[in-house]
Amino acid sequence: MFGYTKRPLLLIAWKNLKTYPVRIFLTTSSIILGVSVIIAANIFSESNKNAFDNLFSGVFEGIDLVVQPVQEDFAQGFGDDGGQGPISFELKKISDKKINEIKSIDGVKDAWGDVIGFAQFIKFGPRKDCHSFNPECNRETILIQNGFAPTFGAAWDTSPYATQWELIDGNPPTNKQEVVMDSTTAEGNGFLVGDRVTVLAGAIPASFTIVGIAEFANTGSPGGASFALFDFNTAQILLDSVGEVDFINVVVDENADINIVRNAISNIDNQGLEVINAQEAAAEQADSIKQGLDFFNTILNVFAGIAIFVGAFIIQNTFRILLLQRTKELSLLRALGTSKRQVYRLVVSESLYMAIIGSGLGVALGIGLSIVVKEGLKYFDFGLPEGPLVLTPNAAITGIIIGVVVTILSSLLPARKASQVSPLEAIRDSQSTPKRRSLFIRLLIGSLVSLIGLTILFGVLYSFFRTPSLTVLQQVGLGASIIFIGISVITPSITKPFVTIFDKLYKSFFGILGKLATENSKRTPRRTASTASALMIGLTLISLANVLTTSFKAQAEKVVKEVVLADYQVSAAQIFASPGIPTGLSQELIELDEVTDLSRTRATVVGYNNRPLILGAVDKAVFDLIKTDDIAGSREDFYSKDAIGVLKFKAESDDIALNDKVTLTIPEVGKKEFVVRYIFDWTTQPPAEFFLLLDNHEFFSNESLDTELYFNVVTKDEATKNKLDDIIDHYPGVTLRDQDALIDEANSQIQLLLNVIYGFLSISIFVALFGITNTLSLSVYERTREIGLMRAIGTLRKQIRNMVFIESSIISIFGAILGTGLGIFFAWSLIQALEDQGFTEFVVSTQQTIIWIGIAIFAGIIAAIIPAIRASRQNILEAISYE
Amino acid sequence: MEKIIEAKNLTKIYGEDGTSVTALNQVNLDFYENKFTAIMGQSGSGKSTLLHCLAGLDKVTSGSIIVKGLDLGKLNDKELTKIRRDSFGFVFQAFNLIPTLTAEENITLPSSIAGRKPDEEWINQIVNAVDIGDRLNHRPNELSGGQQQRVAAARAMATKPEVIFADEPSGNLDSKSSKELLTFMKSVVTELNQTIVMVTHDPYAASFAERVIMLKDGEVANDMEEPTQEEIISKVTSLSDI
Ligand SMILES: Nc1ncnc2c1ncn2[C@@H]1O[C@H](COP(=O)(O)OP(=O)(O)O)[C@@H](O)[C@H]1O
Ligand SMILES: [Mg+2]
Repeated sequence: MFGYTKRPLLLIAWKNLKTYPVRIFLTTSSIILGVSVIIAANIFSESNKNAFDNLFSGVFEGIDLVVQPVQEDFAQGFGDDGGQGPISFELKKISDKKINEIKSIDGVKDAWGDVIGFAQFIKFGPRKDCHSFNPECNRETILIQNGFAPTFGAAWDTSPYATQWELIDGNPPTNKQEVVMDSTTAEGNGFLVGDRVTVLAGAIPASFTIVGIAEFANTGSPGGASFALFDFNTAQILLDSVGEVDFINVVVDENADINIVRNAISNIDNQGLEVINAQEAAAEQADSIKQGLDFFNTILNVFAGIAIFVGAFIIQNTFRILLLQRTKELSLLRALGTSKRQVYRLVVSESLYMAIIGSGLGVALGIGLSIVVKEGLKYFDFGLPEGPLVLTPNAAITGIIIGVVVTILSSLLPARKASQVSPLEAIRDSQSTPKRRSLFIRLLIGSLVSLIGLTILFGVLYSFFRTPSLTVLQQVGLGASIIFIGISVITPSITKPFVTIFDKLYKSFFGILGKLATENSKRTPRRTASTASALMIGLTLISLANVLTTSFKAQAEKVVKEVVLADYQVSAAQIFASPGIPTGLSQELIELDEVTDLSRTRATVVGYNNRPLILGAVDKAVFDLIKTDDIAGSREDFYSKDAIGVLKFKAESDDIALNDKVTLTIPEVGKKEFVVRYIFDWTTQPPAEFFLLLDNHEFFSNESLDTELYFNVVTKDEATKNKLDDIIDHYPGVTLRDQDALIDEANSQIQLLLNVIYGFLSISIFVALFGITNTLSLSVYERTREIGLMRAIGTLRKQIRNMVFIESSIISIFGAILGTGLGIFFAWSLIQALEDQGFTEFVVSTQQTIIWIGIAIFAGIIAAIIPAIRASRQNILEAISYE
Repeated sequence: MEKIIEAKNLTKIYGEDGTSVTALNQVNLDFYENKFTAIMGQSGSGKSTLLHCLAGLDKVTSGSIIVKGLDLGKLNDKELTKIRRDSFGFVFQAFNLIPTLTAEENITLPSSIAGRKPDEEWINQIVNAVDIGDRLNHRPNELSGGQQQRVAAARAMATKPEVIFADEPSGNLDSKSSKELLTFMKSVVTELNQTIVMVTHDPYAASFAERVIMLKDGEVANDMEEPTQEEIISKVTSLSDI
């Protein structure tokens, strides 16, 4: 008996795939990559969320109620991580006497106070900029920070119910010379129990003995933050909380009613204290951080979207290619009586199998990719909180569904085309001739779409057309996207003219091979164009990023040069890490003979109209050291005791005029009235919105930290610099920069961002490469006879390979030039749109542009290696025999 | 008359042991300069195989082919390709021309890939002889079948090769075009001192040649000098009768 299959098409589809593993690989490669980016993006953000969840649930583990002080209204907008950063948030604290009061309440099992603030470990290592064989090289102080995670100091909780921290080695701290270190920091920096370590807490670094190493909720430390844990009294002194605590943790008896206890505690001080449910608070805090992370997630998903978009182009192309190669096989099926519909279903079921295989592999690759990305970011000190990688079933399913749907949709058009092969095709050798008419229609539609995009874009730039409810930037973005779509539609129609421009050049460079290559890419303009488009997307984004960064760099340089008139600036080194510049430094500098003018800048948060506002304080010299513009009033008036200076933008937004009175709520002083004597413009990023003269106000002159220092020197030379360095070296975390260093600094930050973006965008180029390989493979396959003939009449293998390489270079030049052009144009539009915010510089780096076009061409040639070798190895006799 | 190709004990076996086909069996043949030689035989008799081996397009299983003192069997792909490019010309039954190149570019293709300037005067001469002067800027799909084959013939001799190999060059043509092409080929030998080895199964085509070699089952069955068409036909029939 003969076997009978109920579903012959599914079987044929499966057999087809099993017979051609390479075919599966070519088609699925882009699905795999696209899905893997989605998965990696998801794993990445889920893992970060998870790390923060652990952090917050860990913080309140075993605790029922948390008692915290009621903050001034205006301070709440800043969240409750007070004490961080150069601007000191003067948050209210709770008197530690309250702890015993709470303990004595019925139903309270235990209560203990927590003190938390800024502290950072310091280690010593060779300077980054010096080589080990240089004896002059000093050992530099290195501030320890785990990636971008914050650094904390806190009190070691002695209550038996405090279970967050658990010693894994050593003992708890008992006196002011001892500290316990979190295990992430200890492991990362090679510290052991018994080692001495310097800790920067408050303003003065001091030396401690590590008596223990502790783990937080079974991970090294919460979210990778570094923790220096002191005994309670030491923590109060170092973390600026003498006689006070930041909050009080309460554990309630099992059989007591938590709400009754809560009310009882509230009654101690209804005005000053707030009692919250610890578990609810944990969830709330985790949520707010997660929302912040969603931004990062969005960026990753945009990259994933790009990869999938490019992938869809390529899948469609590959299907077309594979089906063309199988025209004979399909027409044979047709001749044997398979209906069009069945052929269509055959092809679609093949794509279904591929989609499933590809998406599955994509998930696997995505896991690998996320590990690589995580490690990569860590390597560049771009670390996010520590924690295990998390792949949620939802993410995996979403990735697979997107992969499958995109693949199947991309296969529909080629499948329809394949189903229309005539049963006679098997015996005929047909040559496809491009349809001119539809290319013309394409040109029309594409131009129309581009025109709409251009109108939207230029409409906002030259203010003749505004789309309602969009910001300037959004409208530019919308216009740019529409232009991009328009250009993508046009590309097939402009392939021929574009390649024709290169005809002469290629012919004179590569002779007849150049001519053959250009003719070949003109022969199938659609295919050439869609292959080039995949590359175009990547290059558009890369050159956009590129031009924006060179322009931003130029902008930064211009601003620094125009605005910083001082010889030197001193600032706290790291954004999260440092509390500011200890005021001792400005004292030492002023006493130096070499230092002439010096201005300190301080800042604090105050309340104004019930909203938080940054109040700054400066010295008179600031006006000679930083460029400011007078708007109204005079500097002399500003120097009087009741005077306040207001920045132009603040004066405009809040309708403040000269001689108006403003009332500020200052935590240390209470309500205080000032008269607006001076309205001015601070031409760089201002450190505050309102300004006072520093020496006029005690609450400012008593501050222990400066935000920034600016000063001039008598002669700016090596000797002076060395003297300055000697002083500054005693202040860890403080950096001295001159104008050039400031420019370098700004540039390197921009560059770091660019490098991360490049990393992601390279993936899209990588995907595009598969497209080029596929297209050229088809191109070579279709020209079996031609290539055979050329070999027969004496074309060397090397020449055949070169011909394929030249053809590939045409595709990549086409994609690269279109992409680069669009990217530069979009960058220009964005900068125009940012003009209001002071952006004036538009700089295209010719060198960078050429390098990237070069990379694209090089990548195109790499992608052509396999088809080129295949072409050159083609059997001559098979090609020329005619039977 | 100078000997240009010398084939000794040529044997060509296709396939593996079990299903092998002996396409050529111990063939010994010499080919001479300035001569129009036709190779005849029934379909499957080994004509094309012989031509491919002689032209360095295929490797022989055993035996040797000496072209102007060089043993083709000892050359690598690059050297063989250069010999085909510089010393041989080719006309095939179909697919002779690159569709994206004009007639002129097709004719000069072998010089172009060799990176040499074509000999203008010589090319003018052959272009006139094949009568395609007015079609030089046309692409193959704008030419008739006969014109295409004549362009192919012009290309085959554009580099003044030692030998022109043609495999059924008139196989796809009507009788008028066929006659024009063959007349041209003959005139090339007599007037322009070229050498042609042509495979055909058509006695009429073979009658243009000065020497006709008949193959049967991969062996030389007959070798005739200056036969008439009638002689060829009778030989063909007598061979197929056996
Ligand atoms: N590539 C090949 N593989 C196997 N057998 C072949 C191949 N080419 C030719 N043959 C066989 O070799 C014999 C001679 O073929 P061929 O030289 O093409 O004959 P002709 O040109 O005289 O028709 C035939 O039996 C043919 O089937
Ligand atoms: Mg034959």
